[in-house]
Amino acid sequence: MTTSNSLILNCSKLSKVVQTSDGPITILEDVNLDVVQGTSIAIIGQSGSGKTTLLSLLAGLDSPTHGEINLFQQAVHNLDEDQRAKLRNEHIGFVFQAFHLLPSFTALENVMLPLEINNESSARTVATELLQRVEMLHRLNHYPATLSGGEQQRVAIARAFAGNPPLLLADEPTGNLDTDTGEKIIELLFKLNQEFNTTLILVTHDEKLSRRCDIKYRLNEGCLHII
Amino acid sequence: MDSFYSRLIKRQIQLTTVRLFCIAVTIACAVTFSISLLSDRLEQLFTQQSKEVLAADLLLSSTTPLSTDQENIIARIPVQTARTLVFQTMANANNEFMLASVKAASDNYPLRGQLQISASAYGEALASTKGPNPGEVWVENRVLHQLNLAIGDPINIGERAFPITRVLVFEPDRGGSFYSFTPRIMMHWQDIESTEVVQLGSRVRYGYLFAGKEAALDDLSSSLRETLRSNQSFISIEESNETIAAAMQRAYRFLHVTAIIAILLGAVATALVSYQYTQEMTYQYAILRCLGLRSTKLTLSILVPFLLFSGIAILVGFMLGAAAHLIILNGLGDLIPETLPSASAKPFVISIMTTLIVVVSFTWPFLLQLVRTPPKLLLRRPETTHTPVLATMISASIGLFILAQLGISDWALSVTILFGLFAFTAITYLIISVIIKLLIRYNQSGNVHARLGTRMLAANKRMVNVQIIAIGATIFCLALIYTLRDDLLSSWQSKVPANAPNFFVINLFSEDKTKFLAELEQLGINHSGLYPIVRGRLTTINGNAVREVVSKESRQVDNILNRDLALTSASTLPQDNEIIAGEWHQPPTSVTYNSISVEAELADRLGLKLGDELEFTVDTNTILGKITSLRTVEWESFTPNFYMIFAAGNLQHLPTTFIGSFRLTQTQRPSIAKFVKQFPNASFFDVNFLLERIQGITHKISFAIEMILYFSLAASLIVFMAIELILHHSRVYSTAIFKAVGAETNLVNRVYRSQFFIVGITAGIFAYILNTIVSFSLAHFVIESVFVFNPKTAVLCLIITPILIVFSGLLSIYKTQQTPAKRLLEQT
Repeated sequence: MTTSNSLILNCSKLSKVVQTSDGPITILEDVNLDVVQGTSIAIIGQSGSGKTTLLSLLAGLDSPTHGEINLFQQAVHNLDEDQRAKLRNEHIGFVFQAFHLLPSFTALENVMLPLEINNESSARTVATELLQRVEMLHRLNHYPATLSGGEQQRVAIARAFAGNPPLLLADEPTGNLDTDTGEKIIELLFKLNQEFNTTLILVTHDEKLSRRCDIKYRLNEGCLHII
Repeated sequence: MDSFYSRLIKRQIQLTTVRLFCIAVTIACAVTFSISLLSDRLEQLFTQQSKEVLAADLLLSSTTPLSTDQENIIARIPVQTARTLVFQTMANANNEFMLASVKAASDNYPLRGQLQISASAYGEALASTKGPNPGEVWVENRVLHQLNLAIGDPINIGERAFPITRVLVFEPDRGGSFYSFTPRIMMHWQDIESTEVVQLGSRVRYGYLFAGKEAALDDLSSSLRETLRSNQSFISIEESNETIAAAMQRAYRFLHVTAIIAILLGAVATALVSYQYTQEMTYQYAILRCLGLRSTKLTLSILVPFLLFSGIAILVGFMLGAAAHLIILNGLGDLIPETLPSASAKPFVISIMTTLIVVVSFTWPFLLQLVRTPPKLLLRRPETTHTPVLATMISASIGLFILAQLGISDWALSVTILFGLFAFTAITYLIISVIIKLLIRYNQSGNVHARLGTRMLAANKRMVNVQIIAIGATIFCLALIYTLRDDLLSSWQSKVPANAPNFFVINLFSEDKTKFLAELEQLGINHSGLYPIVRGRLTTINGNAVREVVSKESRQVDNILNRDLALTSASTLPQDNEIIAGEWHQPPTSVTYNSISVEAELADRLGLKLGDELEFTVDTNTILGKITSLRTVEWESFTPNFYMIFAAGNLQHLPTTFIGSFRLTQTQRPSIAKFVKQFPNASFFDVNFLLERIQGITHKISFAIEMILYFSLAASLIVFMAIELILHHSRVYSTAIFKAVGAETNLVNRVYRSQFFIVGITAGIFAYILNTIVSFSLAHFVIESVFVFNPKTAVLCLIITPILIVFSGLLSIYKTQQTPAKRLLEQT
């Protein structure tokens, strides 16, 4: 297994229960997960299996009902919203299925955003360089609405790597793309992941995609099993 | 109804935009209805009150009795009538004689307004709706005083003695000349003959008073106008030279302006909501078109819910408007009579028309855009969403112009408002683009929140423009209301201050002058100072007789040419006067002629100019002078005002008495009896009643205007909410992204704060500039008052607006700020 100093994420007995008018629904139950620096992990599962909920808990976007999450030696479950935001800014990059670029910002400005939030003076240079690496240099000043899905996801990937985060979370990154574009995006994602030596947690329902990762988990009815 | 439509309506009513649309239309209708209802009733009240200055709705003045033909016309038309006859005669009692101005009034006098009478000399004034009964007379205090009489004593007028039954304190139709030289005695019309004073050829003035329905009065006026002889003329409110009526007319016009502005705000809100509605519904209609919905059905599917919701909103608006108007009336309390004139049908018609015009002209370009939704939208979102800005501007302008016409029937005002709106939009659009470009260029190394805020503004330039224009327009309207209200009130209040004199003294002899002033000083009574008075009649202008120089019509209108004028002399310009041409008097020693300062309006009417020589006859003497300056006079100031002011010392050789005004507090009031005894030759007038009346009107109008201001604020709130709704989705989304990439709530907060500040300050600056331009134009061309710099509007636009926008903006995005970043994972 791993040594404790390379363990960047650890969850134990993680549960998420939501209250509905029909009573409580358990989305995640007793999930345990250890993530070691530099690995790539795929979490696969059917729609509604709780993949996205798990990802949002790991990123500190949501709080668990029970259990603990330790991310970079910080107990995420004990942090408030702003402390979790700071943790994300410093340690986590995100790639979403729906790209989620600010529609009112250009491609360059979107990539600059995490750097600017961190008050980095070289935001423009770093962002330009990253866009060059995702082959979007010719689209620097384009707004998201004028970009194709694949192009938007390239910008989103550049943004994810902008702060040079040790951990990258990707939620169905090819979910909104056609097969060819999807494959190109995945190539790009893994290439950058390797170059930046980033730990990757990839949530997908695509078995083929999951095979590219070092470790695979399946989430089934809220329970996580290694495969 | 087709189940498709009912389903559509059911779904649409759940949309926030549709609900806000209904609220906006409801408010537009409620504002219009309450204001037009209120205006209608207050207008009737004001008109009624302004008619009091004529004591009638219509007054015909004549120096001879009406002809039989004219009497027949009057008899034919169903109007209420009353008549008065004014003549001067010597009244006597206790072997003392005095020149009095006698008014004989028929039974129905006054047809409008009330007389004020008291049961004892300088006693408390009570209202009376009728004049004296036959066989008795009412007299002014100074008659009692001068002839040493008391209530109940007889007084002789011509061949008949009448018992004095009341003291006459106030006549509604005595106008500005409430301190005329000859004291009034009022008697019944029936008694004229028995006095044997009025003979053929006597100098008398008949007043024929009419009241009734507008149509009948119009009929009467047009029928009589054809028969008028040169010595007969209708006296209108304006012609009556009554300051109260003029002020009320101005106030009434102002109410209309404020109403238009409040409605405009409702219209802006409706347009904004419609914009957002179109944005939200475009994809639904694109899908419907894609699925093969034919254009007729598509149009109906847009129009049916639109008309239904508008209809409901108008109905609710009526109810709210009626309730609001009742609340305002209740708030006016005893400022208005208990029984206000009931509303005419006008407010209902105006409200429906106004609301429909607002709804149609401010929303149809958006709805048309929806009707034309191309189904290809489903395949690819267009680079930018087309907003029909030009079409909306044109359509809204037409609508607004019709609204302005409906509300104020005033081309000048409509054009001014339209000009303001256009100028504001065009200038704002151009300048905001430049400002944002500059901000971006010079804000590269600034704070991260300011940089991000500016970038978000720049990226949303079109929306920000709409936002700034809407907020700016709202603030501009409010600033305009403030400017106009302050202008209106200050122009009254400065003329009628809280401590305005409430007593006049006239006929104070020269030898009593010093003693009287000393008495006032000793008792701590505020006074205007004393002015010498010489009674003289203008006889020649540049050596030519007045009769030859001034037209007959002018002479008739200007009664002052037929009577003695109060000539005075002064070394300093009276406080409320202003020289508009020439120069104030030089010391008499430095010139060889008598110099005269003439009231500017009179000079204008008589065609007098600087350098003209005027000759006055004073008893058997004459005095010649040259016009060296023209002056404006504040007739409402309650201080002695004069048409002609000679240089100090010019009138020394003529018999002089003094006039002045002073203020007695309630506790000082008994001093008047002391003055009457101490200065038996002088006459004292109580003008408290008139003063209170003017101050009451000032407060009333001020309250009504404030109420309308609240409506405007409510409407501007809806404008703000509509903008918030438009921006809501993008704000939630941006906040989630900011947080996902690690921004703390505080940073998000500061990014929005800098955006709100830029929006607020830009809108404020534009509102201020525009307000200055428009209020200057209105003051100059429409309301005819002097434009004054108003620091309040500067504070409102440049300080309160940015603070308000930042504060309300942050409040409105409070929930948005709490948007969790996980929202992004939920959206795919």
